[in-house]
Amino acid sequence: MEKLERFVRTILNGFESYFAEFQNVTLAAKSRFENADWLGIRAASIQRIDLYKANTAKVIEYVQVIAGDELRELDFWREARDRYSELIEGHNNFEIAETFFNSVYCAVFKHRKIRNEYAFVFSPLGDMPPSDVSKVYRTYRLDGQLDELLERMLADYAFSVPYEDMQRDIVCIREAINN
Amino acid sequence: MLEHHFFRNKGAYVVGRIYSGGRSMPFVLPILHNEAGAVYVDTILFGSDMVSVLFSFTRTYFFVDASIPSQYVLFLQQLMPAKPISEIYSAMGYNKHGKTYYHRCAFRHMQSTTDKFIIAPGIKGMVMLVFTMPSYDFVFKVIKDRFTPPKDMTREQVMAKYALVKRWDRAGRMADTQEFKNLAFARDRFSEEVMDELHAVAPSLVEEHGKAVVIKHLYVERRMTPLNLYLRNASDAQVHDVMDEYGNAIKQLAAANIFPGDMLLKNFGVTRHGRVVFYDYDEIVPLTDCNFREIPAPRSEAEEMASTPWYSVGPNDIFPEEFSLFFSGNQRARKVFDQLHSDIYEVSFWKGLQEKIHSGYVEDFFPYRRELRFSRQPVELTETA
Repeated sequence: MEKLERFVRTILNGFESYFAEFQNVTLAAKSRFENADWLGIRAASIQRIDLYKANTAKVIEYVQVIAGDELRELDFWREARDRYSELIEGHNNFEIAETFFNSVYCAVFKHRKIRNEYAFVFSPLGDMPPSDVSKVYRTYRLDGQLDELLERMLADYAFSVPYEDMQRDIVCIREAINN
Repeated sequence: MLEHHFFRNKGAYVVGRIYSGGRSMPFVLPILHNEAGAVYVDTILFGSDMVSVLFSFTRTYFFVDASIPSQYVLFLQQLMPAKPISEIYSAMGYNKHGKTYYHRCAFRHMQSTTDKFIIAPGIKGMVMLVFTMPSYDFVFKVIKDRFTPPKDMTREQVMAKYALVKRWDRAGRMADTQEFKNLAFARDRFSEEVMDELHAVAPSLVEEHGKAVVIKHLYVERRMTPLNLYLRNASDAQVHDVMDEYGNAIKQLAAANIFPGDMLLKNFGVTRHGRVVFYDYDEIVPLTDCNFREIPAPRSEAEEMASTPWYSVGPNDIFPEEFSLFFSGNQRARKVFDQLHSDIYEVSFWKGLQEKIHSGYVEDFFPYRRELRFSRQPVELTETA
């Protein structure tokens, strides 16, 4: 069913668009820190919370047009849920994409008729994606001096502004670890 | 170590774990900006509890560059096994998914337990009916249809205060809440006491459909021990620590431009880490909207003896010298508090904070004890062993 396909793709695009904006606010945080822009960080924090509602609202406008008379048909939503689930299978962030679908559903039905057949009360794909945690951490092995390891580590986590006194920080960290 | 920094307020945090001798120890390096073109490592935090306080539900969400958030969530969960995954998602800014996750866990909790809902321990609120389960770490807060006098406000006003807290910098001192509409519960899990109370104080929000009870609107929040109850069984050392925390909570809220309005002990809770957190939001106002005043001296004996104030009081007028009333009856706690935090009785303290906020100053909210901070004194370089 071609219409259903457009309907679920619109919701998924809405999620991707939200996620991209979320990432962009987040990516700016490091620079705000480097610039000591504290009021900017606070504003970004609020802006990021507000993104969610703004993005679901945008999607709802489109899905209303696409679904037309079927917008409040539960059978339509049952099929939409199943098709959406197929669409996001294997997606890195399918769990958050499900939540986004739920938000669109809840907005249409005013938080009524929330059943697992029509929305993702539970996930057919599991609570969390099968994530490979090892992709997101760095490993440091202590082969020689602890100070040398700490220096490498601080260098890896450096900012566009320098450390005030890296050697001092290394000594403080080393002493805290040894205690 | 997680490859990207976590940012929040004025801090950057590097999060990892140390493996040694088959054991693992979580740690965090907080890095601060000296506002003179450089950064420094402020301390190192060790252990699950300290990391957990950093990722607390009482703080603003972090910024972290995680293109697959679940990878970060899983790593963090290994560091803090006692922290609900829903709260880790929220702490990374995915609070809506945190809500989904919370709901799934809540459903499973109900399936795997048999205990009934009870009225939450503590003094009953004028605005909220609060219930929980003995086996459960969360409370459900339902806004009453009519508020106990003299409370004079509307449901919409109360909801606006909760919405404000959601977006505000909670500064480690206000509990995050999840808002639910039309949440269904199994009728047989309600004791008659709770059901009667719901029908009595919030009939417009309660619907019974056969085996289900639907509550049209409620907030879910982590359960804490009400401060007034905590004090009842507290040792002298605990009273000292918790009163210090209570004062710090009031001061940090103020620095975050929040005046709690009603600072009664019962409106604060104690977390499992011993932190004091505010959770009764109906009276909060931005600190900068408050007009802090001293009580004018009476001009005559008649004025002094009058049962009503002899001076006019505006809606946002606040008299800090009256704050000791918040200890109502708990003189043991008050005595300790006065030794630690008597500056809050001074108008100048509050006006000073207002000026700071007006000037655009953003306060530091350290998610760890200050004595843990490194000294920043230059050190003599010595050969290490």
